[in-house]
Amino acid sequence: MRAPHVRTRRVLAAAAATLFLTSTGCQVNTHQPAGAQFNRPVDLVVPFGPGGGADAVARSASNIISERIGVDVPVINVDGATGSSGTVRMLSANAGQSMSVLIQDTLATVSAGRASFQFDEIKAVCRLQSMPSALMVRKDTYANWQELADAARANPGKLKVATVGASSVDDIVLAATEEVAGTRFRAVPFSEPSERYAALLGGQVDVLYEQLGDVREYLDSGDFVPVLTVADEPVDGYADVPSTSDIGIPESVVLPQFRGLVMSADAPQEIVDQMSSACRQASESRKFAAFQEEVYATDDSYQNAAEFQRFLEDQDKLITSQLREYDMLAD
Amino acid sequence: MNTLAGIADTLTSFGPTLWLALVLGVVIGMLVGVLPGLTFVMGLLLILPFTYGMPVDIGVALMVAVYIAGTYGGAITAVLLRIPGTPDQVPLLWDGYEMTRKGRAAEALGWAAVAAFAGGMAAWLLVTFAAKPFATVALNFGPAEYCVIVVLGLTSVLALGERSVAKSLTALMVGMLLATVGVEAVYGTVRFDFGIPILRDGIDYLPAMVGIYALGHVIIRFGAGFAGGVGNQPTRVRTSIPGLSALRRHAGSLSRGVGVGSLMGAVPGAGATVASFLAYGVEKQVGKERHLVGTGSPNGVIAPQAASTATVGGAFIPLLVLGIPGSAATAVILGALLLHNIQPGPQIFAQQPELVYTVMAALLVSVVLMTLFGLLASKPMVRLLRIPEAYVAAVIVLFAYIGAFAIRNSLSDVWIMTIFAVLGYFMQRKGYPLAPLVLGAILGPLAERYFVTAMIASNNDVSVFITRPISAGLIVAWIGVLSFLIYRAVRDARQTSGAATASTTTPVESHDAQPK
Amino acid sequence: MHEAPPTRTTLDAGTAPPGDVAAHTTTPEPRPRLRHALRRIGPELAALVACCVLYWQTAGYTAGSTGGPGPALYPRILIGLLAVALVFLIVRELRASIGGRAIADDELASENLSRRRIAVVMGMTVGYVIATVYLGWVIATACFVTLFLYLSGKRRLWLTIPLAVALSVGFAFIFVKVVYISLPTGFGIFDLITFRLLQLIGAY
Repeated sequence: MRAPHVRTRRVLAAAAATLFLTSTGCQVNTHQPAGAQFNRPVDLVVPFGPGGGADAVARSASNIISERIGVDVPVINVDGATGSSGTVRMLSANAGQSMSVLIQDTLATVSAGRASFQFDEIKAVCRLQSMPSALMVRKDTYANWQELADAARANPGKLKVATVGASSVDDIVLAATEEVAGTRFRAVPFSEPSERYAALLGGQVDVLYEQLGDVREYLDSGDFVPVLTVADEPVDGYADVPSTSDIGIPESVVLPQFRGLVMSADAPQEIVDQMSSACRQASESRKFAAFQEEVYATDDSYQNAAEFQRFLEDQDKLITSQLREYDMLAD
Repeated sequence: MNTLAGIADTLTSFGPTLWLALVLGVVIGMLVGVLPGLTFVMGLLLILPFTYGMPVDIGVALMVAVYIAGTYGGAITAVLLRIPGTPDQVPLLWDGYEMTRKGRAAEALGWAAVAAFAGGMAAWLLVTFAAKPFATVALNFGPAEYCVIVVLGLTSVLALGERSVAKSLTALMVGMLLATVGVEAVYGTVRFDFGIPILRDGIDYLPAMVGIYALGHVIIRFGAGFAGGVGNQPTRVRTSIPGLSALRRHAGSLSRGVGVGSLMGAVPGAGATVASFLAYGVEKQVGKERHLVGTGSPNGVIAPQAASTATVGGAFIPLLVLGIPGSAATAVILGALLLHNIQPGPQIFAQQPELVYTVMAALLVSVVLMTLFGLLASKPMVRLLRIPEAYVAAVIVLFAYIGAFAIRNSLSDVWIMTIFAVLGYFMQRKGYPLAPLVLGAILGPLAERYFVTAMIASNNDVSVFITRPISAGLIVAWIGVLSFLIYRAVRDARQTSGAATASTTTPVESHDAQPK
Repeated sequence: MHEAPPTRTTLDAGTAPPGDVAAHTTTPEPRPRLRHALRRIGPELAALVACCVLYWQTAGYTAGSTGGPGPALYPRILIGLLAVALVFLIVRELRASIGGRAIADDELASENLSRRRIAVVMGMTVGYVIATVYLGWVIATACFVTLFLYLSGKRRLWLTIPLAVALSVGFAFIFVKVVYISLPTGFGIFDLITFRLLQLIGAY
């Protein structure tokens, strides 16, 4: 079985490349490397399955970063344990030859003491996205936050909210919301995003907690209606929807969903800095900007290595204190 | 008929690039299907970067082709080498490989191609004519229903084996328990890791499957000194394309397989695997030639293959109509569409009918191409059996390593694969069947996740499984399978205590005596 | 090697091929009967002990504030069912052995397997995985394929060594370049050799 396959694969590879070229015009990597440090491919580990939001941002950014630094930046999906498995995979590679996507949910597991790696093992490279979340309902159920809150008060603990999973930031925000609204919801964890959306569409749950950008199609079609945005200020396009600050939830609980890149703490600083500036160029590209707008990412999404590092440290402290306050810390 | 006209229009407007994309896609899909460990998800990921630079219709056509061909390619290695390319091909090992042992490899491959064609056409019809009603029904399925379906699949594997139910149950429980190792999906609790980092990342079912079937196969063949392999038997290539009368004879199996597959396609996570096992079970319990299933009967190839290809329809519909990917493969396709700024979902039929027609036309063409290639390839493929087995075995080891490694780019999975190969060997030595072990590892985590979610949503009220009508209907089906199992277990136990033949199994009928 | 659940070809002692594994399918002498039975149920007994250990482990799993059945219920159900099945198998085996009957359900008995060869191939595979960590995938694979073929009776090294090299380099090119998989490159000098090699063939 060996020989014919190997041959076919080569022919295929050539054919695929031809196809690629004929359909797009020439796009071969002919440029010179920007710095001498990069002589091997730098893995970009996505610690979640293919097709999700983190995967999309990594794949959009990797092409442009690759052009900047002159070596391949292959995207690798390493799913498992809310992002922990992938981050550990990145840490086990040679420092500086691998980076991974870090999102809020993974950071929360670090803060909660449930992750397989420590906060000081990673070093920030850049933040690519910061985006608002929202509580959403199915169309023709609750017209606005007031109606939802009234219904929740009438049936405490009966309305179901689809969330990510135990000890996530979703749970913190939900707990704060419950406090302000004076009622209880029932959080139902669905680890797969698609299952959360199907649950709201099919009426298995009443409310969905999700980033606005990840459910754009349902918002545009009117199937999902945001009733409360998790943000300090009104979200573009949803100015009439109250934000968590409007209903009196303290700012310290308003933790934005973010997606950024991190490397091992042992990675040389110049590599990190070069990567960080390649990130900036990626985030400034037209294609990426269109993508950002599509997912409602905020204008200040990009942060360089130093800013992102500070941001992560702040978030880590905030999440830890919030988890402690709502009694969600691991023993 | 509007839809048909749209598809016909699209078909006639296919340019040469699109045709090339479809041919390439089918070939890539079949190749990744053939290689153990590399699934069609891998194939889709592999072409994903290329699709970014392509016009969206070509990219989508390419992905559709890879996906559908990927559900079929593994049938070839399952039948010829007894190595399933993907988990849903495991049932093909039994009758398909048995046919190869009897020198009927070309015939088995022919039937697999025909079954894939029937399944693919059913998928196409479903997507084209029943997408919206199907999607509406699918939305009524919640965690409770999915949980019962998965448990039904798990129970059916016990009903497959004609050996002791206790041994099948043991193997199944071992598989399911091994799959609980690592971080639990809902609570985030780390279970059974004993402080070992590899275990903390969890045991994925793919390395388990590759280890047990691919590497395990090599271990046994090496142990036997590559003696008595299928290559040494005269391969009588009688016919590879089944004739009309044969088709009529097996129409029942085809339609049963297609039916099961179409229904199961929308189950997120493991639709094709559950469908394939269930279809085999149905064939064995109610098929016209049920006594022949398991002895190298074409029906045992047709039903599971038709079912697993037919699931493509059920998996595609939620993606197109609702924007919800029902499987890893459709999630990748969704990702590709999103990067082209196309949002599948409620509005796509109104806003971008051309794209929907392209998907439907591409599906149709891919099914036809896949069948054609499958039939054309079956004769040359049978010649594979003439290559000295040691060379094939060495290459299988390399593919097993890469296949396991590629899942998460991690050596942990290679170790898990190796450990499962060894475990599988010893369990086989003790007479434990391997299919329940693999199926338990695949479906166990899904069963748990759906169960836990259903229980949290209902506030620990077990009645949720019987108060929802669909779930109640499924429960009735499950009780049926369960009572059959208990009846058989009791019958076996009586026979064991009464029999002097020192065998726990049912009497073997005369035609079962096959050359070993 | 045959796993097919639907068919069961009952092995009577007459057709069982000669070979070391077929030994226990013949009825043992009365004296070592119990010892024989104990040896045969050893793995099941060990699994039963493992069940207890695992059950004890689940005691530490708590649900927290999420509600629902908690992370311990499901593994406990599995462990319970497994234990029931194991006890049933052990009792059946003991009864059969003491009654002078052996249960012939060794699927592999018809395969004429050599234990030594099985041990060799298992050792070779484990060694291969370890070797890839240190020598890198390309070098380890070339060595493994050569050794595997040699021990399979393909002794023509002038043929198998070039073949092994071609296979490992070819696979590395396909999987590192076309399908991007970061196959292990090894440590130290081997890392450098692999790196240069991959650069040479244009994979990096």
